[in-house]
Amino acid sequence: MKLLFNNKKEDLLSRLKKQDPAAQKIFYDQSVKKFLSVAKSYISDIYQAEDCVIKAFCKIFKHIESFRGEGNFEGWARKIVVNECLNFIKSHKTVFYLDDVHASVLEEIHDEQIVFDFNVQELLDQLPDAYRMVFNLYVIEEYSHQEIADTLNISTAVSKTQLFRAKEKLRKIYFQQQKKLKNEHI
Amino acid sequence: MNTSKKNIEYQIKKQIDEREIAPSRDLWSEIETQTQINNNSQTKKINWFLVAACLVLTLSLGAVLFFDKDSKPSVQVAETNNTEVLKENPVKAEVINSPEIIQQNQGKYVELKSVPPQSKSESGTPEMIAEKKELPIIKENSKEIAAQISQIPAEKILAKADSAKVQVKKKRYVDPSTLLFSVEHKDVIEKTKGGSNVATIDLNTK
Repeated sequence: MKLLFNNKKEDLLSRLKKQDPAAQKIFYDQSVKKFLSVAKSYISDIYQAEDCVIKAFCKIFKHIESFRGEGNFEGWARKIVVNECLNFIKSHKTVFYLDDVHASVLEEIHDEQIVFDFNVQELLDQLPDAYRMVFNLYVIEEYSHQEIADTLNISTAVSKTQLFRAKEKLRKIYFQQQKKLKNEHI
Repeated sequence: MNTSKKNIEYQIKKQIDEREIAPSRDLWSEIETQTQINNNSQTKKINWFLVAACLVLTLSLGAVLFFDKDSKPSVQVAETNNTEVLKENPVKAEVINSPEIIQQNQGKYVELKSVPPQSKSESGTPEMIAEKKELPIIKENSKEIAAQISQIPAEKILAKADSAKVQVKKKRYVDPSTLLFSVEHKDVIEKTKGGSNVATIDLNTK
C-alpha cells in the first residue's frame, strides 16, 4: 500500500516536471490549503497571504526541475512558500529588530501550563513582523538560530533575542486571551 | 526548543500543522494564467534560439558556397585549358593533315603529316613540339609552297581558302600556312563582296 502511494507520488512528480497542467491542478488541490495556512502564519492579511501562495505555486512549477529528489518534495515546496512570505514581508514592510537581550534573561523564562484551547492566528497576528518571522522559523519550521540568521540576514544573537521577545509577547497575549475566555465561561 | 506538551510553542506548532485554510478566491485561475505566461516566454526564448541557429546555419552555408564559387573557377579554367588543348590537337592534326598543298609537296611533309593522329593524341606535349618543329619547316619552304600553289587552279585555292576560313570561324583556329601565305602575298589577296578573301595568282610568273 505504501509502495503504491510512493509510486503515485513519483508519478505526480514526474508529470509535474513535464509541466503537465492536470498534474499541476492535482498538486494545487492537494496542497493549497496547507500552504495557505503556512502563509497565514507569517502574513495576517488573507489576500496578501493568497498572493504569496500564488507566487509560490508559480515558482514551484517553474523551478521543479531544480528539485533533485533529495528529501521530501512537499518540504521543498513548503520552503518555497515560506521564502515567498519572508520576501513579501521584507519588501512590503519595514522590519525592526530590537537590541540584544542578556543571555541570562533568556534562561529565566518559565513555561506556563496551557489548559484552554486558544486561537493561534489571533496570537500570531498580534506579534510584530520581526518576532513572528523568527518565532515561526524557529518553532514551526524548526530552523536553527544560524539558519534563521542566514535567511533573514541577521546575527544569531538577534535571532535569539527576537525569539525570546516573541515568546514573552505570546504569553502575555495568551493570558489576556485566557482571561477573556474565563470571563465568557463564567 | 522545549517539547513539553504544555508548552505554548508546542501548542502553536501543533495547531498550525493541523490546520488548513481554504482560499477566499479562485487562486488556480491566477496560477494557471501565470504559468501559461511563463511557458510562453520560455517558448519564445526557444524560438529565439532557433532563429539564431538558423541564421548561423544560413550564414555558414552562404560562406561555404561563396568560397566554393571563388575556388571553382580556377579549377574550371584549368580544365577548360586542358580541354581546349585537347580539342585543338585533333584540329591541328586535321589541319596539318588536310592542306593538300603540303601533302602534294615534299616527302618530309608527308612523313610528318602522315603520322597517325592516335599516336599524336597519346600525349599533349609531343604534339606541341611537333607543331613547333613544323612551323619553321613551312617557313623555310615557303617559296616552294607558293610555287606549288601557283600550279593549282585558282578555283581550287579559293575553295580551300574558304574552307579554311569556315574552320577558323568555327573553331577559331588560323591555319599557319594560310596565315603565312596571306602575310607574304598581301597584294594578291582581295576581299570579295561576300567577305571572303580571294588570292589571285598570275600563273605565268614563276
